[in-house]
Amino acid sequence: MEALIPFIPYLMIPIMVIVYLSTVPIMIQVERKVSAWLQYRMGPNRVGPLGLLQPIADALKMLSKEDVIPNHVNKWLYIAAPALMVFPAFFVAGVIPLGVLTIAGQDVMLQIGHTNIGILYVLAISSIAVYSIAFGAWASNNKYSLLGGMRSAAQMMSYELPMGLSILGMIMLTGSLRLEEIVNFQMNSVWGIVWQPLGFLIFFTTAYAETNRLPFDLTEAEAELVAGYHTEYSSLKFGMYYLGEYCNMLTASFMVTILFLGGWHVPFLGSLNVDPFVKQLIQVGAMAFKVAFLMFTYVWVRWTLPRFRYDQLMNLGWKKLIPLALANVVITAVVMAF
Amino acid sequence: METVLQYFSINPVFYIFATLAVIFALMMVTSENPVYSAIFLVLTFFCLSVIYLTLEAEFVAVIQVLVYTGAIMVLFVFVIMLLNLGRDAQLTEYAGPMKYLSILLGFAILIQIGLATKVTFSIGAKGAYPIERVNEMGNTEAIARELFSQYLYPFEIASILLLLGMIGAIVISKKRPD
Repeated sequence: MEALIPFIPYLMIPIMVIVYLSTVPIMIQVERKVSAWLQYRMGPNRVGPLGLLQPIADALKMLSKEDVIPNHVNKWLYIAAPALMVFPAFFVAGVIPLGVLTIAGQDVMLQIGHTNIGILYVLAISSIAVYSIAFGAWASNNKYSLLGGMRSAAQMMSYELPMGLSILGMIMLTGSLRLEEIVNFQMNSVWGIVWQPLGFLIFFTTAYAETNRLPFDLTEAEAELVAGYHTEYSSLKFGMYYLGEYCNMLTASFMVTILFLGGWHVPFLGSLNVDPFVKQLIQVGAMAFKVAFLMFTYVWVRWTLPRFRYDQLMNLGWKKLIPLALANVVITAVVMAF
Repeated sequence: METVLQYFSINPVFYIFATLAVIFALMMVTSENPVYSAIFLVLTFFCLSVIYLTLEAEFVAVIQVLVYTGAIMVLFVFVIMLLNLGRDAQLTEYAGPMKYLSILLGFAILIQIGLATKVTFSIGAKGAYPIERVNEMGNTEAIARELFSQYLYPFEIASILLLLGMIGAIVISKKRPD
């Protein structure tokens, strides 16, 4: 078993890819079913038992549709932009820890890259996704697409600031940018949501804005912009945007869990009388459960809250969230100093 | 003894990304479409950040992506798209015969910089933070310690300058009551 330890990061690469890729069909099904329940409908129930094979049918439909490239588009950028959406969505998984396993007396972090800039890496890589939307919108040469792309650029710029500031409180408490250190800090005290309730709220809100989900999906507001930046996209190119959106949601859920919900920490697990290895497996399962719940919340919020108006979105970002996040940082600093 | 120059000469990643950075920078200057220029500038920043990584300066690398690629260039792209410079208003200003002279002078500067770096890098003395110590205490910690102790005053001045720029932009863009 000991010889296995150096290969854990390499083993984690396919595991993370599978985690990310398998989330998307599950989320398609959850999105359809939960929206149906919330609207008092049945939802998909024809394909397979209880309609469970619906995601496969959806994926097949997307693959077999005609791939239309309109004449007026900027061809290179039009083709490159959807790929650019998926690249950061998967690239960001490189630092996300899933838990700890003790193999042959050694604690092994289930993580691809052990870097001491974990949070900054996630913020930096996920901030690239906006280019995909902006360039795809511009290359489409369609005014609705362009409006969607510009909205997206402005929105993601505005919400990155409160997002970074809301994390700052947790970083100050932990004294580290490592994601695993932040989880360890919460395991030795209480969850981040108790330390930083305001920071949690701000981060949670900005996570919705950064992933372009309702109530912040102004970039694709159907009623105003047809479909926003992906109006001209069809077939698998549209599928890439779809895939990227769900992967970004998963990353955001991972970040909320790691920063504020204790990561893989399970309360009162220490008093349980089971094998330590089983305990660690339970912890990995707890992480998965927390992330799954946050993913469900995404769907829940989407079908509950109406869309913001654009000026409301900007007011909320600049005039409410940023001052609140700054106040949170100052309060944390003052409390820590005394 | 491993000087910076030796480090470069044994690292193929540096050569790959340095070459790419130069190619992208050239394409950024030469492309006529402003959106293409922005794309190539983003790619250049990416290559620079990989070069920082080969120097084991991961904090600088990630800040490069976060600030320049993730924030400043998004604003550039936003303005280019807002003014819709893409299709009609292509950049058509040419330097004329002065172009050839500038190419010549550019190469002269390049050679001079190359010679200068060769001299300084190979005989440079070790500073207070050699790579072993930085690795030991962590990249971010080393930068933070220097920035908030020895370089606190310049750091604060730079912050105030940036704040003034922000306030200035807000004051200028605000409607005057008249």
